[in-house]
Amino acid sequence: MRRDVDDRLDRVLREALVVEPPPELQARLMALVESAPLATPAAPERRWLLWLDPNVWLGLVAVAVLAWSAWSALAWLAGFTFVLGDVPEALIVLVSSPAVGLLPRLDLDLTSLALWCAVGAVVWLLNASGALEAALPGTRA
Amino acid sequence: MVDTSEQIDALARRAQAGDRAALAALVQSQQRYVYSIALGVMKEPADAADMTQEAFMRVMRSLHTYRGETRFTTWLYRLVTNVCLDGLRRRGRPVEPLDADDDEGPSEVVDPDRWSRPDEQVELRESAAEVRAALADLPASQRLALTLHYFEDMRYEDVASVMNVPLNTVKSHIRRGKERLASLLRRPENGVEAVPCGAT
Repeated sequence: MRRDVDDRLDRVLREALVVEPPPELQARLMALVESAPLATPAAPERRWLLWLDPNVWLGLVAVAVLAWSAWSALAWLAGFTFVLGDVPEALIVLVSSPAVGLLPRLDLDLTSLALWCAVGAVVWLLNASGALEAALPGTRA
Repeated sequence: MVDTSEQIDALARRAQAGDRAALAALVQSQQRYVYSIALGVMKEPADAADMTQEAFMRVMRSLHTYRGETRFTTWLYRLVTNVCLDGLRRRGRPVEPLDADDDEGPSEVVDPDRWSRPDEQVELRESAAEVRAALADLPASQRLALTLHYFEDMRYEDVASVMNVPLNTVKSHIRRGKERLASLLRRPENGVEAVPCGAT
C-alpha cells in the first residue's frame, strides 16, 4: 500500500512539476536561437589564424621600425655633448640685429619675456660660475 | 530525441563550436526543464516565462565559459536557479535560502500513522489544480529540490550541486516535501475536505 501511494505521488508530482513551456514561449526561444551570435572558434585555432592576418605582420614591421628608430635616437643622444656659447656676445648680436626694430610691432607678452630673460640670466650666471661644467663633466664651454 | 546527459553534453560542445542546429536542439531538449525550474521558483507562469527566456539568453552569451567540469545540465540548471533568484530580488519578492532548515512545517502536517496502517486505502487528490495548490504551499527549497528530483537522470548529488547545498539537505528537502504533499493531498476519509493552506 505504501509503495502504491508512493508511486502515485511520484506520478502526480512528476506531471505537476515537469511541465512544457507555453507554445508562445517556445516560439520566442526558437527566435532567440536564430538570432543568437554563434560562438567564436576555440582559442588554439584562433592563435593559428592570427598569423594569416596581414595586419598582424604590418603591426610587427611597425614595431620593429619603431624599435630601430628609438635605438638610433638613444644612441645619438648618448653621444651628444652640450655646447654653451658666449651668452653676452649672443645678446649683443641680438640687440644690434635689424630685427630689434620689428619687436614693437609684435604683440609680445612682456611678463613672459621678462621671465625668460630672468631664466637666461640665471643660466648665464651659473655658466659663468662653472657650476654647469661641474654638473656635466662631458661638456665644454 | 535527446535523452542522455552524454548526448546533451555533446550538443553543448557542438553549440560551443558554433553549430546553430545543435544550439536549437539543446534549447528544445532543455526548455521544459528550465521552465519547470523557473515555475518552481517564481510560481507565476508569466514570471517563469520571462526567467526562462532570460536564462537562455544568458546561456547563449556565456556558453563559451562552460568548461565541462560538471554535466551541462548541472551547469544549466544552476544558472537558471541563479537567474530566478536574481529575478525575485529585482521584483522585491522575498528570497528564501535554499539551505533553510525547514523543520517547522512537515512534522506538524504529516500524519504520523500514514505508513502504519497498511490495509488502509489512501486516496490522493490528483487533479492538477489541487496538486499545484499543494505545491505552492511548500517552501521554495523543497519545491525546487522536488522539481529537480523528478527530472530524468538527476541524481541527489546533481540536485545538491545545482542548489549548492549539502547532499543531506537535499535528501531532507525531498523527503519532507513529499511527506507534506502526501498529507496535503490526502483525501479525508470522513468526507471533510482539508484544503491546502495555499489553495485558491
